[in-house]
Amino acid sequence: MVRLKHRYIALEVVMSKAFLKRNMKPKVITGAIRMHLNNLYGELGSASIYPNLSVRYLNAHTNTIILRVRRRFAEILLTVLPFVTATESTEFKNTDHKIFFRTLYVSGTIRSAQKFLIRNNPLVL
Amino acid sequence: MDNLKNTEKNDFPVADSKSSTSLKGTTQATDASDKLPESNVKSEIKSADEKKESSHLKKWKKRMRFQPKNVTLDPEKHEYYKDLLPDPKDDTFELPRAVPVAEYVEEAKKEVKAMLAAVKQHSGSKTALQTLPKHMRRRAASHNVKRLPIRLRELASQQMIPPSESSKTGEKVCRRKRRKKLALQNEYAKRAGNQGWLETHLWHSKRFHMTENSDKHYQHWSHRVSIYPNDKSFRACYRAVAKHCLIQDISYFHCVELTGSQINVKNMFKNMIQQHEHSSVFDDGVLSGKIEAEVMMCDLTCDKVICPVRILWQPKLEDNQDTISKHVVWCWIHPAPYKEATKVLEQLSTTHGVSTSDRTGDFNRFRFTGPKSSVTLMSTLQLIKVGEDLTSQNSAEHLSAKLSSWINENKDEVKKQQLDFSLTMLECHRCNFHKTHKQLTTRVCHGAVMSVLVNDPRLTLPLQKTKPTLKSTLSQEPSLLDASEVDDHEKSLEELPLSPKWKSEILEEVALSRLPDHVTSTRKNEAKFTLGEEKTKKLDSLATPVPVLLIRRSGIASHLKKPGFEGVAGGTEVTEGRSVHAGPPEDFGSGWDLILPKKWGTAFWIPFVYHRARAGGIRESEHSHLECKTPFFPRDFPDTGAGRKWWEAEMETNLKRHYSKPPAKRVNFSVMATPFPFSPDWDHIFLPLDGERESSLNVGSSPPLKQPVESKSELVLTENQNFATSFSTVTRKRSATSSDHDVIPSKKSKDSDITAMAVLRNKEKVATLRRLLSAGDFASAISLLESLTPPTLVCVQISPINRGTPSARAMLCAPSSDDFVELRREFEDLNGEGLKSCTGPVEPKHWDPYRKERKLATEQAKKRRKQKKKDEHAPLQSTNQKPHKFNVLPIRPIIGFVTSGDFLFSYASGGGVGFIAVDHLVSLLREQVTNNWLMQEFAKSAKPPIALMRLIDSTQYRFVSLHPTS
Repeated sequence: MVRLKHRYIALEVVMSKAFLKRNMKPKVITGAIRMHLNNLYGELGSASIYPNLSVRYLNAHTNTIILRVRRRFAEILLTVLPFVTATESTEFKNTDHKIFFRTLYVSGTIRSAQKFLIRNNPLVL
Repeated sequence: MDNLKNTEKNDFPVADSKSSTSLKGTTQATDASDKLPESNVKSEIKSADEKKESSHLKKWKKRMRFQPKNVTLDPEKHEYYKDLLPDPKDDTFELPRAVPVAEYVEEAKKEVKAMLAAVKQHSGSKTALQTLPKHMRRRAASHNVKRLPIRLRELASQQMIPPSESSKTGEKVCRRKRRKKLALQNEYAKRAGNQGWLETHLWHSKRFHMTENSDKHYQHWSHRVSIYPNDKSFRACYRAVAKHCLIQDISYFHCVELTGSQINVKNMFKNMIQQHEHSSVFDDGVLSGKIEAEVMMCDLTCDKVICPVRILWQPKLEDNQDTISKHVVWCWIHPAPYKEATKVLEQLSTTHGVSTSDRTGDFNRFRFTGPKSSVTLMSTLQLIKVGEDLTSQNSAEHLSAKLSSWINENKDEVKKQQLDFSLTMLECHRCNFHKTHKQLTTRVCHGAVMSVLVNDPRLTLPLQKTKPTLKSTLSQEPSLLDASEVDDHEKSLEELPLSPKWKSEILEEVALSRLPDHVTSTRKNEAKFTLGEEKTKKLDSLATPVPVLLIRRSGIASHLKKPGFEGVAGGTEVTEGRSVHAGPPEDFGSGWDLILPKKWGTAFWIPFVYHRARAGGIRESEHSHLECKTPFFPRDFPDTGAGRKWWEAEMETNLKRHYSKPPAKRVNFSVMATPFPFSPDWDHIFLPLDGERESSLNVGSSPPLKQPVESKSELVLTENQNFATSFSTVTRKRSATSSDHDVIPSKKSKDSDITAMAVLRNKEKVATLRRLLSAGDFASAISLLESLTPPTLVCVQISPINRGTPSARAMLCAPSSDDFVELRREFEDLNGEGLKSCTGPVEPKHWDPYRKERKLATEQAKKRRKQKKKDEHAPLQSTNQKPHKFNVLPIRPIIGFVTSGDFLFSYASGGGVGFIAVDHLVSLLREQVTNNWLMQEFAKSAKPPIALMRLIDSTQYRFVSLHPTS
C-alpha cells in the first residue's frame, strides 16, 4: 500500500486583537492561509494544498498550531506562510483582522512536532 | 512574545483620558479571569476534510484518541468585560498593564504535559515488541520483559497479563455461565419483584404473548399477564373449552380481605351493591360460605357500576356463629378497576367498622374450563392420606406443625371433604359424558365452594403428557369405585367447606413447606429403584398436605338460561338433537376455580399441563365470553371507569395505526361516512336524530353533507336522493310515534356528560325482556323498555341473519322502511335462494369535507418547502390534522355500536356483543311491529328487532337481529 507522506508544521500565531484570540479556531487559520494561497499560487496552488491542509493541534493560550500538509506541497505552503497577514474577510463580518505566523518547526511525523513543542515551550519561558 | 505585546498595545492604546472606572473594570476583569476555566476543550472532529462518513469518522476518532485536544477560549465566558463597559457594543478594550505570565506558564505546562502524553503513547494495536524495529526484536521477549529496552518494559509488562485476569472484575461473563440455573434464578428473583410477575410468569413468558407495561390497555393491571399462547390459534383453545380442559392463571385478580362482624359487612355490601342483586349476595349459602357470589360492585351512590366482584365468606361453625364474632370475607376484584374499587371499599369500611387488607400475593387462582376439567382435577389432585400414620409423616422436617395439628383435630372433617371432593367430581364428569346421567343437571350450583387437602401433585407427575381418563383415575382408588357404584351417596353439600386456608398463620407455613423442585425430583427418582414398602415410605416422606379451595363455575351464559327465566323458545331447546352450529351448549365455559396458597403455583401448574390441560391467556376468556355472546369485562362495560379507560387506550392504538400509514394508504373514513372509526362515541347515539347530530359534528368549516350530489355521477345522485327521502320519512314516522319520548333523552344528554350513562344490568329485567321478545310480546317489551330511565344502553347480542362478521367499533344503524321492502323483495325472489341471497343496503360514497383542506395543506407545504430553501428562518407551521372523528354522518342514523365481535365457532357464523340506546331500540321495535311481513313470515328465520350493522371500513350494511343480554 502506498503510504501518504506528510509534513507537520509547528507554528506560532501572532494576532492583532484579543478578540481574534478568543475566536481562534481551525477554520480561521485555514481560511487565512487559503486566501493568501489563492493570491500567490492561484487556483492550482490552493487546490493542491487546501483539501489536504488540516489543523492537527491548536492552543489558543500558547498560540501554537500544528498544521499537516502533503509532503509534495509542503514547500509551497511554507513559502506562503510568511505572507499571511490577515484573516479571511468573510469570517468576521467583513472585517479582516491582522494575523501572522511564525514558522517554528517542520517535521515528517506529528510525534516529532510534539517533541519539538515539548522542547520549545521551556525555551520560550 | 515581545512582538505580540507591542502589537497589542499599539492596537489598544491605553486611554489615559478615560475615567478610572474603566480601569477598575479591567482590574476586576483580570481577577475574574483567574477564576474562570482557562480552556474549553473541544474535539476537532468536524474539520473540513473529515466530514465524510460515519465509518471514516470512527476510524478518525480511533486514530486521534491519544492525540492532544485543541484548546480554544470560550467566547461567551470571555465576554464578561462587556458588562462592565458603558457601551456593550464597543468591544475595544484596554489591555491589562501586566502580562499574565503565570497564566501563560500554566497553559504552557499543560500543553507540554499533553504533548508528553501523546509522544509517550504507544500507538494503535501494536504490541510493545512490534514497536521495535526488526533488528532489535528478540524471540524470548514475549516471555521475558527484560529482553526489551527499558522504555518499553512497563508497557510490555502490562500487555503480558492475560486478558482473562485483567477482566475478572469486568462486566462480561460468558453466556454459558450467565445461563446457569442458579444465576438465572437469582436474576429472575431480582426482576420478579418490581415487574409484577406471577408465580407462573416464567413458564408463560416462554410460551405466551405477555402484556407490556407500556401498553395502555394493561397499564394499571400491576401484573404482567399472558394474553395468548404462541403455539396455536384460538381454535385449539376453543376445542379445549368445548371438549377438553383449558387452564388459565388468573392470579392477577386482586383479593381484598374484609374482616368484621357479619352485620357490619352486610351493611357495607348493601351500600355498594345494587338493590336487585341483594338477593344473590345475602343468600344463606353465600353467607355461610358454601357459595361464592358474583355481583356488580357500585360506587357509594349505587348508580355507577365499577366492576364485577366475587365474594366469598369464611365458613363458621354453628356454635361460633355470633353476631359479634369476626367474619372474614374475600373479595376478588379485577386489576383494571382495582384502585377505584379499593377507594370505595376503604370509604365504606371506615364508616362500617370493617377492616380491609390486600391479600393479593397470598393466593394463586387457576381457572379450569371445559367438560374434562373435573377429571383433570381429580387425577392431578391426589388426596393426602389421613390415617394413623400421620404422626410418622410429621417427622418430615418440611411439614408445617400447625397444619398437621389442624388435620389431627379435624380428621373426620378432612376425610369427609375428600370423599365429597371425589364424588362431586365424579358426578360433574358423569353429567357431561355418561349417557345415563346426561339428562341430569348437576346438583353442584354456580359458585359452590369445596375445600380439600391434597398432596403435592409433583409426586404423581407423569413422565410424558398423558390425557387423564376416568378409568385410570378410578383404578388408582378402588375404594372410590365402590362408592361410585353406590349412586345414592349421601351428598354432603350441607357440609361447610372448612379449610385451614382461612388461617393466615397456617397459610404462611404451607407456603414455606414447599420442597424445592430438585429435592422432590431426585427423591422421586431414588424411590423408583426401590420396591414395595420402601417405595411407599420414600414417597410418603415427600408428601406435603396443601389446602386448596375449589369453586364451581357453571356455563358463561347459564344465567340467561336459568329455568326460572326461560322463555318459550329457550325452554323447548332439545339438547339431544340440537345442531352443532346452534350456538354454545348451556354449560359452555363451565368448570372450576382452584385457589392455592402462595409459592405453590408452579408446583400445581406444571402437573396440570402434563395432564393435558391446554393453557390459555386473556384472549381465551375474552373469546369464550364472545362465543356465548356475553359481555366481557372491561371491554364490554363502557359505562364503567375501567371500560372507558380500555376504550381510550383502544382509541390511542387505533389512531396510531391509522396515521402511521401514508395518506394515500389510509381508509378515508369521510368517504365511508364512518364518523367514529377509532372508538365508539356513546354521546352521539343519545342525540336526537334530526339536525342536532350534524351540528354536533360540524365544528369546523366543512361543506355540508349534500355537496357531492351535484358533483357526483347521476347514479349516485338518484340513489342518494332516494335514500334521503326514505330517511326523512322514517324520521318523521319515528317522531310521530314516539315524539315525546325522543325529546327527553336529548335534553338530558345535553345537561349530563357521559358519566351519567347507564347500562341495563338488572338480570331479572333482561331475562323478562328476552322472554317477551322471544314470545313475540312486543307491546309489553316496549313498555318495559320505556320504563327505564334514559339515557340507558342495552347490551345486545348481535347475530347476522345470513352473512357478515361483526367486529369491534362497527356501527349499528336503523334501517329505513325501504330497506325492508328491498329485503322482502330479495327474500321472496323465486330466482334467489331466500335468506341466503339477502344482501343488505349499501352506503353511498360521501363528499370528504377535509379534501379541500388537505389539498390546500399539501400545496402550502410545497410552497413552504420552497420558501425554506430561500429563507431558513421561515417559521414552521404544522398543519397536520389528525382528527379523532369525521364530520360525515351516514344516511342511516347510528343507534349503537358493537364492542366486540368475531367469527364464532359455536355458531359457525359471525357474532358479537354491542350496545344500543334504549329509545332507539324502542323505536326500532315500534316500527317493525307495524310490518306484518317482518313479524310473521320473516320472523321464522330471524327474530326482530332487526337492525343494520356496518363495519368501519366498509359501505355494506348487513341485517342483524338483536337480543338483549347482560
